[in-house]
Amino acid sequence: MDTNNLPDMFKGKRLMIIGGGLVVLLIVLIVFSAGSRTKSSNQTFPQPTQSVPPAQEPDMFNNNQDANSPEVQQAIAEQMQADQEYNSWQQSNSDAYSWIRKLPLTADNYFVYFDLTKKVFIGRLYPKSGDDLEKIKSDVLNKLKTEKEIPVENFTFQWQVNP
Amino acid sequence: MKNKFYQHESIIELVVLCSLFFLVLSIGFVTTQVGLTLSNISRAQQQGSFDFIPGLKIVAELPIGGRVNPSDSVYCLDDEDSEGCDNKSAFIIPKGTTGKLGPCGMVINQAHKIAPSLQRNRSDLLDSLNYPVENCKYKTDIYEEGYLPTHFIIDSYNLAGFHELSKNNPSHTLGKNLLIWWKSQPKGYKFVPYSTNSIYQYADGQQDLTGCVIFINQTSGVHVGIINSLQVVNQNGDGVLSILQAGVKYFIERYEVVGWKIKNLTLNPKEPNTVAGFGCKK
Repeated sequence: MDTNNLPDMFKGKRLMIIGGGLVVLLIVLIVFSAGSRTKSSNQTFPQPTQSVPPAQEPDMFNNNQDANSPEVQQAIAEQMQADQEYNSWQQSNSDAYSWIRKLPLTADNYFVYFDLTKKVFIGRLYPKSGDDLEKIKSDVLNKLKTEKEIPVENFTFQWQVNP
Repeated sequence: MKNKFYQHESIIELVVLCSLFFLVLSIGFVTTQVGLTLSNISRAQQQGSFDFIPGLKIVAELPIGGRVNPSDSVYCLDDEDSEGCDNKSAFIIPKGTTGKLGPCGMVINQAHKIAPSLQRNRSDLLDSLNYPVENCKYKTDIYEEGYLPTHFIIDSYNLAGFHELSKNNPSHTLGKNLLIWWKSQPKGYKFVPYSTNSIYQYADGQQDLTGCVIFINQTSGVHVGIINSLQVVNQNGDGVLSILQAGVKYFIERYEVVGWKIKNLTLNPKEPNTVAGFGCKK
């Protein structure tokens, strides 16, 4: 080995290390980019366990009949009964909570709705850094009272603060 | 020895050149990514919507306004009278414009066409059709009363050119049977079970449910409507799902969507109504 050329050799090795480092950096960048894209498009959510039953022969449903046939009239009567239940639900909502169709109340840092099952207002708050939570709550109550004319004092509020 | 050294040096040069090539490539790649992101943000801000989750359209706020005409691209929802809308604080609901395109048009557009004919006649229910709606040789007929939610579905699909459903078929006229029919996945149709994921996929454009049938299980049967739109107001899955329906008090029903879950389907927690799923055209 020619000892006079040693500094040049070290210089070459340094270049090789720098070059190798850059290649590794590039690979990391590509992997990171692809990984984040996959993650965003494949977000998973809790799902009710429901399954679709096996397919039946569609022919069994092709039993078009005369409009006045007993089967069609029976189906219409049954459907009217189901619709009556739905209509009663709509009517009950309007009677009990005449302002229900004025909701939800939304802004960039909150989403407020009335839970018909629990009979309470749910305020989902999304404060940004530096936001005063009490001020957001006060704004919500004020808007519900003045803009939507809802008697908020008669109801309970549940606040859910989300990071 | 010297020759061997030159050979070694040329390998190093090759490695360095390759590295430089990849460096330039990576800078270009990163620049393009940044450019695309900025372009999306700019476009979303112009449209009043944000698109940080790919495909997810978020409305800055739920629009409000006053009286609208039937030909307008929106419905107005008054708090007491679904057609009145004298109140300027009433919600404005955009008419759905997407979904399955049939040989004679989109299903949702046929539902919009039926809407002006739908009236209250002998009761406070929207169960009469004042004039027949016609498209592609299919006609809805006139109904003095008894126009059911299932009739509205069947007419909308037939007006769009899908003729598998019939008002003279008890398997289609009764909501409970229509659900079974759709779950059987007849050729050209599909059933999407309700889940938070189905709502999320509707929001981000993976699974368009506009024009699909929503099936709501009740104790006395199954209620049906046509999905009009989903307005999402934040990335946490809060918003409003609107459906169109006949045979009941209000043409438009809105359900709050909270964390990608449809809420407020019931008043009575002991007998809860539930969303069974969505019947769509493939």
